[in-house]
Amino acid sequence: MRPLSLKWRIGIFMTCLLVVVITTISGVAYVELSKSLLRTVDNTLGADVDAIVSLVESEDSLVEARKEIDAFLNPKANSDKTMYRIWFDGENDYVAASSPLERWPSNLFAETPPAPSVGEFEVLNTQVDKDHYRLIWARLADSRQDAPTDSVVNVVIATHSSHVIGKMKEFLEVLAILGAAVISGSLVLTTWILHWGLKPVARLTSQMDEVSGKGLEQLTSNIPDSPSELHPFIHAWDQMLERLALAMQQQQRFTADASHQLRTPLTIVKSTLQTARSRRRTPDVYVSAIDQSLEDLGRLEHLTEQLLALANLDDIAGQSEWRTFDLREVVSEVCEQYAQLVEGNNVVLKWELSSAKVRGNEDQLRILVSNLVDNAVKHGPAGGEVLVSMRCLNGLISVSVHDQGGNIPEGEHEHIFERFYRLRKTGQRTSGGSGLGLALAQEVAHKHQGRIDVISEPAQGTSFIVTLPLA
Amino acid sequence: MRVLIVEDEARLAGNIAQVLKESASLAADISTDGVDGLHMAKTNPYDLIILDLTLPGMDGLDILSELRAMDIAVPVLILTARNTRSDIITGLNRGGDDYLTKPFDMGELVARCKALIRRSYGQPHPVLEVGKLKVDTVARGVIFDNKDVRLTAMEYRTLEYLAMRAGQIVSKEELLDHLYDFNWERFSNVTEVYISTLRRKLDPDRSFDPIETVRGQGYRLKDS
Repeated sequence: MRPLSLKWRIGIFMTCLLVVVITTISGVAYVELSKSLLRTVDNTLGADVDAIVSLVESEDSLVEARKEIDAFLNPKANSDKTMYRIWFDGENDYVAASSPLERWPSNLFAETPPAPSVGEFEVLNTQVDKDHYRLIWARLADSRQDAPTDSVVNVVIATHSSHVIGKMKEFLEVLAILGAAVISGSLVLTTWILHWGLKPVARLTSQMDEVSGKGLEQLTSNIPDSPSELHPFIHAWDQMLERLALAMQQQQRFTADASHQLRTPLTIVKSTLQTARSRRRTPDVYVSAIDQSLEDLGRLEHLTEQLLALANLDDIAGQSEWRTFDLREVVSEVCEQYAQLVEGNNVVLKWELSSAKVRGNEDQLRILVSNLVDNAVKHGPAGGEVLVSMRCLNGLISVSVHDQGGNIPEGEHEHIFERFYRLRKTGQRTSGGSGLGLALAQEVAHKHQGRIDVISEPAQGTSFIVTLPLA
Repeated sequence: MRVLIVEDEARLAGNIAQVLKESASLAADISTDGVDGLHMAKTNPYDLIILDLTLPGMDGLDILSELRAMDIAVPVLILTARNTRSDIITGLNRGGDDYLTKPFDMGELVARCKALIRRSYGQPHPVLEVGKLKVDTVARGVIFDNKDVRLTAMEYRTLEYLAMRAGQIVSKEELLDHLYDFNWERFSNVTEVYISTLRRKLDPDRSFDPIETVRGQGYRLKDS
């Protein structure tokens, strides 16, 4: 099921709340109103009862009393509302009753209610056909002089109460209509307010929709008169876009560079093979074309490996795979490997190592060292010497790779660590560098909280110095 | 026809030069450096320059701009690994005549080179017809007076150049400049030798004599 929208959720919540509140208030008001209306009726009836009782008690003859009562109630009797009966316990006939008799509903006491005890009175409601009546039934000890002992006089006085019920009904209707109006009005208002309040969010959303992979930097979400509550969100969103744009820019530049760099050896191999194939040639020519192609493929392979290493470096963010090891072993492994490679290449590789425990990724640090040694071996002068040395100082280990080249101008120092950066060639052919070696080395160093410095002077040669914290 | 290849990958440049020589009878010079390449382009009357953009010393586009600023009208084919649309547009707008991205096909490169050269000499048709002479620049065949004529590469190169400039007087210096790259020993009488063998091969009877010698000025291929 789709979750309800905020608009509907708040709408429903508001409705329920209003229903509860309005119902409670209406109920209380209804009860209070009906109480007050009936109290008026009861007060009148009570006064009448009091009057009748006092008349019955004061007059010796009940016939006299009846006259007095009629005179007293007469105006009310005419008003067709108040009726009474007086009788003694144990006697069937009424001693006195309002006239005309037939107005007294015959079945007023369809079910005789329990009689109130002597000296008490009971307030009763009863319904005859569609008419509602309010009754007071009082039972009094007969206090006349000639009355028999234990004689009890009953007085019942009744009045129509239909108008009260009618008023209550009307009131209820008004309440219901008013309540419904308030609830539906508030529902409309709530949704409208929410719609209005969420408008900036909707605008933001449509703006976000327009954000495509390419146009990241063009869009700083600039929403006119957006509420201040949204500002942190918009700000965060903008910053995220900025970071994303930067990351993508770097990625695109890297991809462009990488494809450019991969294309060059590929082009050379292709042209060599097409040239060889373009006409019939001697076997020697074919062999040399194949050899050249293999050499270029080697370069392509090297470049691919470096690219992969770089990509992996970006991937592995965590230091969870780090362990503590002796850097000397790694450096010595690399040196031995290169010593074999450069044999007969007119380059001498020497190393003076000391033990140094470091914490980090062994494979990455091996790539770092081997890239530096590789550079030194390739760019140093023919017949020159490459020296790898290690030195511990103040909790740091520095590995220096020194060659006798010394031809990196001062201005280039900051650029040589950029990806695919190559020195302006001074006549000699570069020996197939990928342009990634130093970039890779520097990234590894940075990942290990270290740094690489370069010192290059024509007289002394070039030194790359890696400094890492000791474990 | 003489081509300058400015390309920092010496092996690639060598391959291109070899193929242009072998399958298009073009003379080709190579420069692997931007500054040197610009100097060569300025000082020699090349018929085409194949220009890489990423070069040591000087960027290819700057070379192009400088050549055009000096009113050097030589056709320039940009050959580069930069392959985005905006790179291509920039290259052509800076004065390039054609654009080919790496990796490319040798056959395509040769065809484009030939087309650019033809166009620069105002010869849109791949078969050059001058009077009774037909020079097929694609198959590198020559027909004179409805007869096939077998020529060596250098003889063909000489005749093709004369045919491109049919009706005009071509000096010996021009022939030397446009037909030989730096690897050749240049003797001025070498052209005379080729002209005379061409005359003999095209018209053994000496009845037409299609190559006219203009005394003191050079040669002219008669167009009628």
